[in-house]
Amino acid sequence: MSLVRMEKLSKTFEGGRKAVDEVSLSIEEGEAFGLLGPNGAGKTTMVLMLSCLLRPTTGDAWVDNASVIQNSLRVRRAIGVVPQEIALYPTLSARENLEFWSVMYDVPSRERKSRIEELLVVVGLADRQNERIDRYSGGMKRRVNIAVGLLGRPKLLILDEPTVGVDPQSRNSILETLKELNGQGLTLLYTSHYMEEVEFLCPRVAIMDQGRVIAHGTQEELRLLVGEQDAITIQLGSVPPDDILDKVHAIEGVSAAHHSEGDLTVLSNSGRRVLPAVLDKLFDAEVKVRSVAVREPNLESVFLHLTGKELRD
Amino acid sequence: MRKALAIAWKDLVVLSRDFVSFILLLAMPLLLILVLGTAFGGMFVSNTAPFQITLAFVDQDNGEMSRLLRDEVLQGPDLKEMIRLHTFASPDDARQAVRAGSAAAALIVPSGFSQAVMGESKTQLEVLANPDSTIKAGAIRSIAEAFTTEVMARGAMVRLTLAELLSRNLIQPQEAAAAAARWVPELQSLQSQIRIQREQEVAPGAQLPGAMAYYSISMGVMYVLFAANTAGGSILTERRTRTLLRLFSAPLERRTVLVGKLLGVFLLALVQFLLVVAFTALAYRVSWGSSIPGLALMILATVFCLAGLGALLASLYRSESQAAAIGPAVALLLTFLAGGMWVFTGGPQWLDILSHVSPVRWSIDGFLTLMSGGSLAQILLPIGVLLGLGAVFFGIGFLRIRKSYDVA
Repeated sequence: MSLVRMEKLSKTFEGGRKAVDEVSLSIEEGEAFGLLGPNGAGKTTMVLMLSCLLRPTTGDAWVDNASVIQNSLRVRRAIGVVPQEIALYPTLSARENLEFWSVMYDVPSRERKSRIEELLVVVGLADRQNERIDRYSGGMKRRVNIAVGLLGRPKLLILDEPTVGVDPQSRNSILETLKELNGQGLTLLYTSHYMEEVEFLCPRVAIMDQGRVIAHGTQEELRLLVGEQDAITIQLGSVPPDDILDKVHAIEGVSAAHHSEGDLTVLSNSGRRVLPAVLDKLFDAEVKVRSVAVREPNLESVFLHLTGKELRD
Repeated sequence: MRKALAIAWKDLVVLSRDFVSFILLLAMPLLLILVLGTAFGGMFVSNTAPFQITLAFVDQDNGEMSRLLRDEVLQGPDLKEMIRLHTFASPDDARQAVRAGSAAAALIVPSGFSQAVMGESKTQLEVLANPDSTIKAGAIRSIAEAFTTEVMARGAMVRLTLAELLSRNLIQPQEAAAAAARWVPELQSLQSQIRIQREQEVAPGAQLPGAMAYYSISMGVMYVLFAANTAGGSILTERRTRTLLRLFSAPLERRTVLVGKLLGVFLLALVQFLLVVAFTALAYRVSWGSSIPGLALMILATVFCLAGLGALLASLYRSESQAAAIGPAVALLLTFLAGGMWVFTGGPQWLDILSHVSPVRWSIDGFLTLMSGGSLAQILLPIGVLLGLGAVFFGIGFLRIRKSYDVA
């Protein structure tokens, strides 16, 4: 049964910029659904509409059978939101923040104490609950940010890039916690531009670019879009000439090539066969090569295959 | 309402966590009241001691008119309690007494004053004022002017009468001067005509507020506006930190969030002013009047109005830095305009009218009336104006803030 349903959901801002363009998706109860796309793809706008913070220009969305336009209060009772920013009061302690937000999320007063303690244990901050938020590390703040989203026992937890600026260890801890919560039946809508996070957490994924969902399905279904192609990633040690992509594209067997942040990524039906030709082109152009990796396609490859761009662009 | 109260309480706790700013906000008005009250104390009448003027008197005339001024007016039954008269032989001695502060003012009756009053030559009384006692010196000047005006008018009338009598040979010329000296004071009791202006303004038995009391009001009110501005600025902080959006995504009405925020502004301003009232009453012995209902209503009306102004200002700001820069400037301007920095006594009438544009002026008027022994009935106008302005400020502020966050 679908917990979330979006039908031709669109948002056009003043000036005519279309941030979300006729998106139709559904999220089943109990699943972890990933929304993957580069910055500016429209993920946050979609999250804001589902959180009843932004009115759709056209279309509608339903959460737990309540329309975000017609019955926003019911929608807000069904969701917990974890925004991209640390939306907490920095001079209050974790416990004080949770106490305040528990009133806002209608946690009954008799349950409040036990609910807060339960969540402090879930996010691993029970022993530091009385410290001010502004004395926490970035990862600890993120964990309290998530705990606030969970206070009202939501049916759907919406997480908008919840690991931005977090060290790898804290990121893993957050992802493990979310996986555990999903295992307990909590539905997740997880947006990120980190492919690894979405791959780890979400069996079903929608890929967004320029306001549109360009593909969606299970990870396996999405990988099939790329076919049996290999993804070659070459870490460059010097700046290549401007025409290097044209030269690589011209190699027989190369279906896509992209250069970004010192990495050259190439998709090919046979990675091992085209690799020497690609390296020849680089050496001819006197480009230094630091490392080479050939791997099976992932969501990053899918995005590259569909858009010709990388997720981090 | 429970959620609105939780938001308001949270705001107070958050503000109190910025310890230095919070203490400054609460302590600064108390310090300013002490400094200003002490510095300008001489310009005011104490509200604990009876209104008394020590006057240095010099009689160089030694005539009927100077005797009349001294014995019948300055030491007459109406003014005797108020004026402590010290007679000096020379103007220099009197000037010295004023300069030393042992007299608030000196009044010098020049030689030939009586004769001039009877004749047609010009004369004048000289009043020397201590700059620290402008109100008391002003009272003496009023007495001197009233006396001079009165005796000049009567002198003219006597001269006309005597001229008529002389022209008809009903009186001999040598008898005329003696008759004039006798008739002028006896035409009517002079003392009943001469009052100092302050007596007409203040109810009998009332006590006038002193500098400490005056600045307790004006600085207290000004800092209420500072507090309201600070609390109003927290709306912008919540917008920046996205906690406001998180509140809007929680299951509560948007108006509950705004009512909670505005309630927070009101509560901080109320705490601020109650602290000023309590502290100045205990530490500076300021009497806030005897009408408890009047005082309570004045405090509520003042806080309501200025908290509303804080909310209105918050709705106009685009950033926290604007709030930090514009809010205090508005508070200072309104306090200055209201005469809160110093009293506009004796200023032009247009300035007095203009000062009522500032809500601070209505607060000062109301509290001063209470401090001078006024009752609740006498402060209904300032209370009404403050409540009305507050409702308008809150209304516009609420609508503007709601509009600016109308994202869904």
